Amino acid sequence: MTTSSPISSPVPGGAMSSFMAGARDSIGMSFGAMLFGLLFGSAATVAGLTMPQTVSMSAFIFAGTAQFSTLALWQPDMPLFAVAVSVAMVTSRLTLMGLSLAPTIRSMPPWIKPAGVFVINDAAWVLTLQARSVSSKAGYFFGISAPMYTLWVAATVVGVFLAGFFDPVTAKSLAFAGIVFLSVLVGMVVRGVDAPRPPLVVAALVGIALDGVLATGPAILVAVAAGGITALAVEMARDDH
Amino acid sequence: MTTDIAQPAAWLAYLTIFMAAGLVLIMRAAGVLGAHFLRTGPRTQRIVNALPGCALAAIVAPAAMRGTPTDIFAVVVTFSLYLWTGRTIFCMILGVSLCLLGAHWQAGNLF
Repeated sequence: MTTSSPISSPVPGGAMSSFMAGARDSIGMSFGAMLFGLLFGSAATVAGLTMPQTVSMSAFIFAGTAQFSTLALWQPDMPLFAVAVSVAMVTSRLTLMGLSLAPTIRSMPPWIKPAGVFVINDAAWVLTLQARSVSSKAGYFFGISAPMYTLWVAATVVGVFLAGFFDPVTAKSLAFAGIVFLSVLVGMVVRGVDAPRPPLVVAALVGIALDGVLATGPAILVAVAAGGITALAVEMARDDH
Repeated sequence: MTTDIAQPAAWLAYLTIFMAAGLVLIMRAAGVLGAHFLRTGPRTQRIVNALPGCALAAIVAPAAMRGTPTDIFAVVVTFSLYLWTGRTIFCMILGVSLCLLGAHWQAGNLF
């Protein structure tokens, strides 16, 4: 089977066929979600969280970066404000994804919209924006998100049992594999999302320049602002031409 | 696996988890609700579509630069191959394999 860009795979039919198309196109991304889930379950157990606490995190938060940032501050006298600020910073991109996915979420029946908001994630965002020929974007979005969520929680459970199984070198390299996963997501944005490309380069360069100068959260916000200004400039220049 | 690390009280642990869960949900909903106040023509939608990608790029680029030479190699090869082929599973497996092989090679566990 091929997992190349879903742009070229026209899907006839209604919401169910779009759901199946989404599930099929999410297989590659699910591999990354499984890896992250395993690592999170393992890391949380090593940090001392119980199984119900670990699984609750994956089931109710469903955002890897937020879960790892909470884990980083996990201690007997937990600084709740610091946890809140950290979580808000690292999940700011989910707000931007919600903004971008708003037309898709608005097209959902009212009873399922809250679920649609809850499962907004990186892979569902990029794949849904790429899919221009599906009949139901909402169905396609859930086709990606439902398996991702299920695998994420299941992999967390497996990770709990694998805690301490990996040697330090393997664990460290698997943790870095998360960056590889995100780099593929950036590649998907470059290949298939209807958006200008220069802002990505600007945001990446600003991110590198601010690394070590600002904390990760503020650095991302500044980089996104720089990317946004670049996007505006590119679009205005396009209009002029 | 057991651990000797001191832990927060159970109520504080669950309060933290559910506070984080609520906050992440608010962050997600804020974007969807915020879109009601945005006049979205094609141009605005393209700008809006660019922003999450900027956030991802701003996370990936510095994190990749902080890696070892073999980590950076893995990211560059995976990213480039994805741009070329568009094959998600292939690139994911290749990237993870390169990370693992590179780390073990640097640790002297290979050859």
